[in-house]
Amino acid sequence: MSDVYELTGLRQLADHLAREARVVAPQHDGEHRCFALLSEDGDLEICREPSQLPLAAKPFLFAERESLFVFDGARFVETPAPSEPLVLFGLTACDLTAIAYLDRFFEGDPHYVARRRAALLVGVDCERGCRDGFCDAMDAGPGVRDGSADLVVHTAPDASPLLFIGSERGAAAVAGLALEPAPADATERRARGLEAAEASLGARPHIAAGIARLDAGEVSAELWEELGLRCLACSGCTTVCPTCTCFTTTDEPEGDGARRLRYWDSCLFEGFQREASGHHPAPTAGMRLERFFRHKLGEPVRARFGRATCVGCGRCESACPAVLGIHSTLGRIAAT
Amino acid sequence: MKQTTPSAVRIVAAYDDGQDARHFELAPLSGESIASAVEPGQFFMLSVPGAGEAAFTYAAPPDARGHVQALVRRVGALTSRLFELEPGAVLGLRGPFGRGWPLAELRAQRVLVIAGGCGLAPLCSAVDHLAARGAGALAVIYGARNPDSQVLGVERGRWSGRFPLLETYDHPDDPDQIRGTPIVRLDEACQALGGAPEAALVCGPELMMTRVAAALRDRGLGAGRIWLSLERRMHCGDGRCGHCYLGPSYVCQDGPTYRLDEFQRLQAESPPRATELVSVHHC
Repeated sequence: MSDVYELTGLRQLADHLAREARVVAPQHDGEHRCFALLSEDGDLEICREPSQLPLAAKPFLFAERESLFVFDGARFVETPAPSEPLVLFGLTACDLTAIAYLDRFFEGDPHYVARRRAALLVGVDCERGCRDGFCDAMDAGPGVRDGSADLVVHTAPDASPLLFIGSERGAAAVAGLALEPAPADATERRARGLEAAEASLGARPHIAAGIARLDAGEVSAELWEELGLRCLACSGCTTVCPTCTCFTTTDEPEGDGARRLRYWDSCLFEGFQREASGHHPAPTAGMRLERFFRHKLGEPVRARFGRATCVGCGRCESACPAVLGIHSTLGRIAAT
Repeated sequence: MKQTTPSAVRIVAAYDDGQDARHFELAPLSGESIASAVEPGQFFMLSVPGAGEAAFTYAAPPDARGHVQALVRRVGALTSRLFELEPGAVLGLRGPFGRGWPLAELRAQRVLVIAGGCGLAPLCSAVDHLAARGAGALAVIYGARNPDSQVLGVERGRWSGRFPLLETYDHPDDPDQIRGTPIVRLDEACQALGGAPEAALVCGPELMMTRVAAALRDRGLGAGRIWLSLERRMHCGDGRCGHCYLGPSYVCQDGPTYRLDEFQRLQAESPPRATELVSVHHC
């Protein structure tokens, strides 16, 4: 990233981008905070809050429920995903790392690719670590990773935000905006800010220790089954996880034919692998829980995708009503 | 881009082919195209409009007219709906998907094929291929629940006399029929091959396959010379939906055919618990 500018505020950038595309950003929605269409009086200071939004922006790229095609009684007609320009504003480093993984995983998926091509990614460095975050341990934050966003904003208390251009597409998106060149020490300021953010994350020794035990095959089936007894199969973890990609399909009757829908599925559901014959490769909750954690953290998956599929956002810790989130489970594994 | 919308095919012909099993011939509708290059052991995703989509094997790859042969067993909602359809009904087809049998490696070898139940279907075109080789012996052991549940009658009739085809039954109808799993005829098959097999292709219920593989290993065949074909629930066929995982592998992409040593390495990540044995139903 070579081009750096100074912004008068986050609004300056968001308003400019809103001239060409819908802008989705973290918003206060009554009592909740979520990604939503940016309103004129929407407060973007939320992007600076040191806590994670409960849900990532994943549904804007991989829809929770969408139509794949319609069968009209004679032919199958594709129903393409919307491709209107969209700006995803205020993405954290961990969520951007997750999107980079989704790009790789869903390469060739026409519905994901259509939405993704239409989306401009605007990242915001985290000023401080969040409660459950361990992005540093997963090489996913707190600073936005190079190449993962089109534009990167770096904020700091009592200073104007800095804008780093992350891609040619990002440069083109701000081409019409009158921007002040950043002070000469901008890159250094960012490095100092990120150092402070990383320091605020604190030590999480159970993460590395838990992963090491997992890789060494030191977690017994009995422990997984004991933990699995508590799993409610509610799909909370897989819903909030920014890298969970599993889906199922179903047909809904329509006219003389049917519409094929796909929607998010969860590997924690009892029927996820159950076959029509009754054969079930993962018949116990412990096996399914083990699968989830191995898929997020295990060495074979790291080898396959070049990184862990966990980005350290910590959302599953808050989402799980059975205290089986990543800290609870890795903590238990590390302590056993 | 991956093909997520199927090509339209129609049922050209269908006939009963074993208990609760039917043989379907499918042909692309005019203006629709389906891939013609299919390896034995690959599979396709079949859409039954209104009922959904599931994975089935090619009993025979598409012929010059693009006609596909499939053997389907009625086990659930989708196949029950399919069995109600008449010739002319329109279905959707995507494929081929997955990795087929390693036939290029078996060119002149003594090959033993072992199938259980409708596990004969993914092996059917491989058997045709192996039987047509100029060199290399072939023997097939086919186990079924009982004579009525044997599938692919036309194909087995075609094979008769061309190579040893040894049959076994869980529940024989008469005393001449051999009772037991394919393992009970393993030694006989080795003799018929003219020596210990140099490779084995196995397909059937997972428990049957692991037991057959163990029996082959006991007779000295290496884990690198035994191949299995797995069945898993699938909702995409091309590595996206996540359902067919086997450790870090997706059966739809890396399988459905696995070499025994690969399968064992992948399975070691999450070994079957004792409870799994309870849930296994024979095909």
